[in-house]
Amino acid sequence: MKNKILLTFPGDVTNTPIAYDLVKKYDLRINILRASINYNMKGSLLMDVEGTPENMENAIKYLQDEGINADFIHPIIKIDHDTCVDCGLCTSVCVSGALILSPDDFALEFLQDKCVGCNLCINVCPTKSISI
Amino acid sequence: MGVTKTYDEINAKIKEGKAVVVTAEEVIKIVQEKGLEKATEEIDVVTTATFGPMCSTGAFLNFGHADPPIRMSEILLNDVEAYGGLAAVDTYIGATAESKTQGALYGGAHVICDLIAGKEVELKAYSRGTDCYPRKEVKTYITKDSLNEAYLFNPRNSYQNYSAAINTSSKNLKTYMGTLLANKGNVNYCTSGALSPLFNDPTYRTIGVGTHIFLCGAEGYVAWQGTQFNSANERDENGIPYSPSGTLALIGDLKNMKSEYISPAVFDGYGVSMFVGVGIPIPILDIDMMKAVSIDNKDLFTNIIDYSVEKNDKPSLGLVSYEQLRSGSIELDGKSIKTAPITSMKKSREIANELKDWILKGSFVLQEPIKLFPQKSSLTGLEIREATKDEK
Repeated sequence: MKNKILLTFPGDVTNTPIAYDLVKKYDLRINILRASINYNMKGSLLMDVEGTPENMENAIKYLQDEGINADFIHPIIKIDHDTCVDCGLCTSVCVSGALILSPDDFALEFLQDKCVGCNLCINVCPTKSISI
Repeated sequence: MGVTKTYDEINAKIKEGKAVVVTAEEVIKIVQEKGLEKATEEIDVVTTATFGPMCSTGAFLNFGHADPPIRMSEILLNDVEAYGGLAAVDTYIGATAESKTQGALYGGAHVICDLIAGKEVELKAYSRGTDCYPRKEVKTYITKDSLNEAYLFNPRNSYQNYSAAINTSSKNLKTYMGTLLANKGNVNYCTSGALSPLFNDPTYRTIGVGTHIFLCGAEGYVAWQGTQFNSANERDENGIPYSPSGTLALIGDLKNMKSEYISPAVFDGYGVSMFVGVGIPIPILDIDMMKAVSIDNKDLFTNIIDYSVEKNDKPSLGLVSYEQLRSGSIELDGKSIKTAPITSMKKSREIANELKDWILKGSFVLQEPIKLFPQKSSLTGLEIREATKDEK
């Protein structure tokens, strides 16, 4: 899978060699499209990232642990509510919390803003109700 | 002893439209407010339900005879194999059978649901030909209306409790419990908890052979104890087991089923299964029965089982309540782990309410079991061994 990703760094982690780690630790192919750093030492990095969904997911966790904000610029998933049975299995792999079951009626809800485009939910959905 | 009611008395009230019916979730609050005794007097029936993946599901079909007739020994429905070892035009199609052409993308569950939806299904059948059944091949199209009989017969549904699943290994596992993320990344669980049929009648007083039920939008019956029925498991003071125990074999008319209460399921890396919607009414015969149906998710526990251990007997990482599982995360060894269900609570509630409506309208009456399930039935494993000497 391939994603376009925008990383924003707080000032204290600008010296962390993120690109090196993404390649070396998570076997991702990265292509830097834009990089910048401002006077407050806050940085941003826009790049294409290619790799297995598992590596991608672990890399996101690593970035989050490093305190880096990772935004995917991606096509948003679509849910077919005619075939979805609201089982909730997709929520089990949704690390970002974009797919949740409503605490009131246990209906599946999709919070678009939280989706990081990892697409893990697509294969996990047993009724094949999620697509991009 | 207090109030007792018989099936006849409850059914008489149902037919008069005077029965008081609530769901197994609604009853919890009523008992808290009014107490067990008052609630037993007032409520006649409590409806339970579940909607989860149940692999041991399938359908018996009778195609009718072609002219000249064929004794089908190899049968394909939309390229999914159905059993060819029954009489000439009878078959059984299992939910987990996979298409010869599409693999796990389409299976027996899809064929059954296509029939329920009224779609045309391709039938190909082959035979060696006999004097009484000379035809050797058919290729035609069937619908549920063209079939003589079509009924679901599910050897094992509605598990009484099911273990939650976790993965302690370093790689993701694709299972019938969904994708289990590496290093205890998530916990997936089944059952509708306090709404689940066999949690509400833990000792099988009212759910037995012959119990009248809701099956996928049609009426059905409990046909027998389900396969792998394991009632001898350890139980708490309310008789509720901590691990998978009782199961049900269910039968119901496919032709009257509704697509919204049954759906094919494909588990990534595992294969095809079926979401089956089951609703079972429980008559409030006495205060003990009311006590049984008033259990809450905080009273129901299950084991968290490590699916990375490649043995039949997988180790438990401990007990957890359904209330904790429902909250969205649990604490394990000081770490918060995300939990997610596989059973649809939304659908389960819809079914409990639908069955409640049927009973309130007087269109569905209760059937007392004609045979009760064994209380101390345990399982045997499959021994891998050589033939005994005298049988060789």
